[in-house]
Amino acid sequence: MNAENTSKPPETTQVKAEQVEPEINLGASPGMGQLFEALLKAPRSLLKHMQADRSAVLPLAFISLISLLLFGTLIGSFSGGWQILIAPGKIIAGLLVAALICFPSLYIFTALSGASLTPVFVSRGLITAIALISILLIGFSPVVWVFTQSSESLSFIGGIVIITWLISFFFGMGILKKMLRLGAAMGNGHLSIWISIFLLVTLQMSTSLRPLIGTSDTLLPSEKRFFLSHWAITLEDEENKASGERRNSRD
Amino acid sequence: MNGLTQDFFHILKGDKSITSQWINNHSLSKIVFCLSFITIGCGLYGISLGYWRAPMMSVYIGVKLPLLIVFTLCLNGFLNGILGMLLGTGLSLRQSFLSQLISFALFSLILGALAPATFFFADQLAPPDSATATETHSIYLLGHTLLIAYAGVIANVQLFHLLIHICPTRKAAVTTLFSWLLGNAIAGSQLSWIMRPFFGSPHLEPAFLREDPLNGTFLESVWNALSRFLSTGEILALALFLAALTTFLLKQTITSTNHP
Repeated sequence: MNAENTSKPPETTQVKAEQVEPEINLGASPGMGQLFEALLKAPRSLLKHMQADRSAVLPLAFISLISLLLFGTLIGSFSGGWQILIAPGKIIAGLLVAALICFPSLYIFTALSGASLTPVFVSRGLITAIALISILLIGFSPVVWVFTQSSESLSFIGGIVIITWLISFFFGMGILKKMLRLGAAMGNGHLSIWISIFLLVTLQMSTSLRPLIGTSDTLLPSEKRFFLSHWAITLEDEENKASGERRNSRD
Repeated sequence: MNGLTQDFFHILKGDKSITSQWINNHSLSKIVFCLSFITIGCGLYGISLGYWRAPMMSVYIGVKLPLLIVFTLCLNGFLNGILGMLLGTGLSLRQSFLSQLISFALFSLILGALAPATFFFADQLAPPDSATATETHSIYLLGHTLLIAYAGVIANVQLFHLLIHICPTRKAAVTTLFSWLLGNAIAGSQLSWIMRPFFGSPHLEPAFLREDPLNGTFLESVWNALSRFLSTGEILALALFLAALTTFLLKQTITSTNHP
């Protein structure tokens, strides 16, 4: 075998990775099905389309709304009752507020990366990313549902939901990295910092709007907590409850 | 967007030609523009910084943080200008001042953009009268220190790229940046000590300034804090080690062949 063919320069490998994604021509007013396919198979084509055309924005926002509504209903069904209605509302409102408060820093951080992107396009990129996150959450829903039917542990189900969120989140953030490349950015280190901040905000938002999977007498919590403290307290409470039950059953 | 704002966002993206154009064609409007960004950006971030402790504290820090930047620049402006000329940058006093003003404006823009997120955390963390106030304050302090450090590093990296672009030699750019950073760090830390509090301890009442603000220095307080764990000899050895490490890194940066 010819030794010259065995090592490829990194640029060729990167070009090849980008070329694996098919090019899809979306036309003037793409339908939901086309958008759904483009979002999953060819996000670069979708982003290029959105650079000049805003017709995809509302359908993507609608896809996000419906997906988050369904996912919220699913996790609200763990506790049942009013949570079935309250949980989806909180998830949609929480994600919207998190996106709004982090948007100014997203624009600044994309500019710091050297990308020539307008604020309008950056907002469209963020909407696209949220749409992908929402679709993935729906994709995970059957698995999450199986666990909610099999367990009564709040902290276990909470952990499952958080892991689901994290996986969907990181896939969604891949859209923003593609957006950055479209703007000819010099790297995505700053975007990675922003992604960490946005993740922290969403995790804190889940604690600020609790309960999402449990029950409560009030719509919103009366006590403010950092999300890590809340997770630790919830685990401790469950552990105390479980050891109390074990003691009672021995007695 | 007007011309200056458009230019500034090009500077944010690292466009060295626009930055050096600003330095070479300095004007009062550019200085006022940068000062406005510092006031608004640091003001908004200061409001979010102080909000956790008390709403009144947010007003105090919203006012103090931009003032801290401006006072540091004013205190060191003349010295930094002289150092710039001595170390061979070719910059005039006004050009040195504007370079640093641009860097601080970038710093303020980054922090200002993060202000909505930091305000959210300030509103949502356990309040200062709760049982976990001390731990919450520590997390709060650490988070803000990291953000401020990050914004500071980015702003100084941009300043470094600018100096590399306009200075005749790499050595002039590196030594000038180092001397400006050192001077601003020493002056800035002492000014922040005098103008404290900035974070608002849960065990102390909110106030614009502490009683007797000119009593003590930042460096003495660092020395006293270190003395709780280290002997005088160990502190001096640590200081010498840090000085040697800094000198080594400086030399490496000057002689590095990888230009930004």
